[in-house]
Amino acid sequence: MNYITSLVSFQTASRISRRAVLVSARWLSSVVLGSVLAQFTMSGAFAAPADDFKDASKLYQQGKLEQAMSKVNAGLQTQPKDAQGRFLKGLILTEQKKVPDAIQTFIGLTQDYPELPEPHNNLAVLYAGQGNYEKAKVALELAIQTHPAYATAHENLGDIYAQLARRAYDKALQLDKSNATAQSKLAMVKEMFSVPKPIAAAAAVVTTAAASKTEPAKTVASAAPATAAIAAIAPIPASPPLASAANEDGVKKTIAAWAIAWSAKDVNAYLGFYAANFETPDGLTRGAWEAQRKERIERAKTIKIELAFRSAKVKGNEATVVFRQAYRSDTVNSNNTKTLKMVRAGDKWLIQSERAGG
Amino acid sequence: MANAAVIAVALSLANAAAAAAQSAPLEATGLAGSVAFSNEVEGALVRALETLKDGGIKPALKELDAALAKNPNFRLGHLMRGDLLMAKSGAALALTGTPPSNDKTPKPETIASIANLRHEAQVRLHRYYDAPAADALPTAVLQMAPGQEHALLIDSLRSRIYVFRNDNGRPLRVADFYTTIGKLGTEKAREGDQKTPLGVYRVTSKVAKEKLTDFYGPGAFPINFPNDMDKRLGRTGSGIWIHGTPPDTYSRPPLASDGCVVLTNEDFQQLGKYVDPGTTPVVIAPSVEWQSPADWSAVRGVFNGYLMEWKRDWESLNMDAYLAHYSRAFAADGKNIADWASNKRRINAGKSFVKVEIQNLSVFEYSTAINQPPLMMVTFDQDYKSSNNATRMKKLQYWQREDGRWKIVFEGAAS
Repeated sequence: MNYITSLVSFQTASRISRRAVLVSARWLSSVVLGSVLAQFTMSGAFAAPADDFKDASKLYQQGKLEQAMSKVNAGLQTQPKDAQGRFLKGLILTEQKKVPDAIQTFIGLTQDYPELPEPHNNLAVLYAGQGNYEKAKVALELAIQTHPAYATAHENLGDIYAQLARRAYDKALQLDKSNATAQSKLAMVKEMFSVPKPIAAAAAVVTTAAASKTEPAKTVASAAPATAAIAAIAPIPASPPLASAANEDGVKKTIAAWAIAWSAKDVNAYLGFYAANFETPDGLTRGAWEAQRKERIERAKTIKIELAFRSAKVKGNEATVVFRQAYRSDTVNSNNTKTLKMVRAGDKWLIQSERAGG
Repeated sequence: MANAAVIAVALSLANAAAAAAQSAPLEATGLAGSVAFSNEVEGALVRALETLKDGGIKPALKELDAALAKNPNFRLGHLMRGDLLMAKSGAALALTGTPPSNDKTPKPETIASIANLRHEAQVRLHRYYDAPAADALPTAVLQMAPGQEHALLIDSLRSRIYVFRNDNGRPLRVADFYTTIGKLGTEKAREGDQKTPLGVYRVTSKVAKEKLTDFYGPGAFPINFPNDMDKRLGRTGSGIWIHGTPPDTYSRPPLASDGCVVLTNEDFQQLGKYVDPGTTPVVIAPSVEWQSPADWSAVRGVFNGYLMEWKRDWESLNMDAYLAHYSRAFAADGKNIADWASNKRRINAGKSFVKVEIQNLSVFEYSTAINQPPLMMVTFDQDYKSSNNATRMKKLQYWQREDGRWKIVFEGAAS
C-alpha cells in the first residue's frame, strides 16, 4: 500500500481559528487519500508511514501497547494529521488507561473531522467512564446527527439516557447515598469505517484526475483497506483560488491552498494564486518567471511542504503573512522564513510579492 | 394548600430522619439479588431502578411492564414508565418533580397528583435503599405479652406498617407494607380532622367484605380509637380502621385517608394473616428509630430496672421510696399526685406485707404528639396480696422521662 507522496501539513505558531485548520486539513486529507502521484521513494532511513500504522495496529491487537504507541507516533511524525493514525493512538491510550490523553486525542479528531461518528462515540465512552453522562450524551448525539443509522452510537446513547434517568431519580428521591458510579457498559469502536469527506461547497478539491493528466501511467495510490469508502473527488477547476474571507483566516486558507497546489505539482493552480501585478524576482518578465516555476516544479519528482505561520496581518485589502516554510523534494531540502504580501481581488486573496525573510 | 405543605414537611422530615436512622445501602445488604420485597410491585420498582444503572432503559421498562400487567392500576408504575420513555428526549422526568418545560401549565390537580406519586415513590423506595439492618429493633416495642402473637407498628413518617412476631417477649420483624394514613398526617384530635391518631391501640374486630362497600377492599380491622389516653386528652372521633382499597385503585398516596390506615388489597390480605382481632396491638408512631439489638436491649434493661424497682419499693412498704416513682404531673381518676400519695400512705399504713406478682407484661412506646418524647405504656396482670387484701387486675401505667429517670404519670385499670 502506498501512502501519500506529497503532503502539506500545518503547524500554526499563533492561535488561528479552528475552522481554517479544519478546512485545510480536509483538503489535505483528500490529497492524502486520493493522490496518484509518484511513489514515495524511500531513502531507506525510515519506513513509510503506512507501514508504521499497519504495524502499530497489529501490535495494538496483540496487546503490545508500548510498541504500538512507538509505531503510531513514528507514523504520526510524518503524518501528524492522519485520521486513522490518530484514531489508533486514541485506542492505544484508552487501553493504557491514559484517559485524559485519550480524550484529547479523540477531541482533536472530532474537531478536525466532525462528521466522523467513531471519534464521537469513543469520546462518549470515555466521558461515561468518568461519570460525565451529560458530555457523553452530547458526543453521541453528534455522532448520530451525521450518521443516523449508526447502531453503536444509538445503543450507547440508550445506555446514557438510562444513566441520566437513574441519576435524576437518585437526586430527586434521595436514594443512592453510596454514590457508586455505575459500571458503564458502553462500547468503544475499534475501527473507523468512513473516511473524512472533502468539504462539499468549497470549490477546488485537489484531484487524482488532474494529477493523472500529468502522469498518465500511474498506479492509483490505494488507501488502507479500512478506508475503502473514499469520497468521490471532483476535478479541479483550472485556475482560481477559492473564495475566502477577507480576514486573517481567509488569507491563511489561501496560502494553505497555494502550498497544496505547489506540492501537488499542479502548476496551473499554483500560478493562479499570483496576482496579475505580482513582483517577479530577478527582473524576470511574468512569462519568463512562470516558465521557470513550471520547469522547477515539474522537475521535482516529489514535493513536500510544511508551513508554520508566524504572523498574519490584514489591513483592508492588503495582507502580510510571515511563515516558516520547510521544502523537501527528492533533490532539495530547504527551510526558510517567507513573507507573502497578499492583495484582495474580488472575493479572493492573491499573492503580490513573495520573498525570503521575515 | 395544607395537603401540599404536609407532604413537603413529610418529605423533608423523611430525608432528615432517613439520614439519621440506622441504615444499610442497597449494595451493602446485597439487596439487588437477595432481598425480600414486600410484594412484586415494589420488587419491580427497585429492579427497574437498578436495571437503569447497568442494563439501560429497555430492560428497566420490561420490569415495569411485567408489574403493570398484573397491576394495571399501579399509577406510580405508569408514571415511571412514562418517564423512562421520555428519558431519551431529555424532557424532565415527572417523578423528579421538575415542572415540564413545555408551555402548558399543568392543572393544580395534576401537580398535586404527581407530587403524591413522587411521595409514594420516595417512601416505597426508601424502604429498600435505607433499609434497617436485618436484626435492628424498634424501642417502640420493648416487651410483648404472651397472648400477643403479633404486634403492628406504623411509621407515619415513612408510610410503613411493620409486623412483629412475639419471640419470647422480644419482637421479631416478619413483614412490612406500604401504608396510607390521614391526608393531614397524625395527631388526630377530633372527628373529621383527616388525621390518623398517635398512640397504642389494638384491633378490636374484623369486618368482613360482605358487610362493607367495595371502597374498603377485602375487609377492615377497626381499632379502639379513642382509647383511655385519648379520652383523657380530650380527643374525639371514631371509625379509625385498617382497611384496603377500592377495585379501581392499586395504591393510594401516602397521605390520603380521612384518618384510617389503608393498605393495597394484596398487602391487606397478607397483613390479615398476622392479625388477631381483639388482641393485636397497633402502635402508631410519628417515626420509628431502629436500634441495634445491643442498644435496644440496653433501653429495655434500663426501663425494666425502673419497673422492678417500683414493684420492690411497693412491696417494701417504704412509702417515700415508692412515691418517688410517681411524677409530679401524675393524674388518674381525678386524683393528682398529692391525692394519690395521701391515699396510698393511708392504705399501706396498717399493712405488714405486700406481695406483687407481675405477669403478661407488655411495654410499648406511647406517642401523644409528633414533637414530644413518647411515654412508656405498660400493661400487666397484677396479682396483689397484702396482709389484709388480695386483688387481681389488669393494670395499666404510663411512664414518662422526668428528672433523668422514668416516672409514672398515670396508673389504673386497663380497659
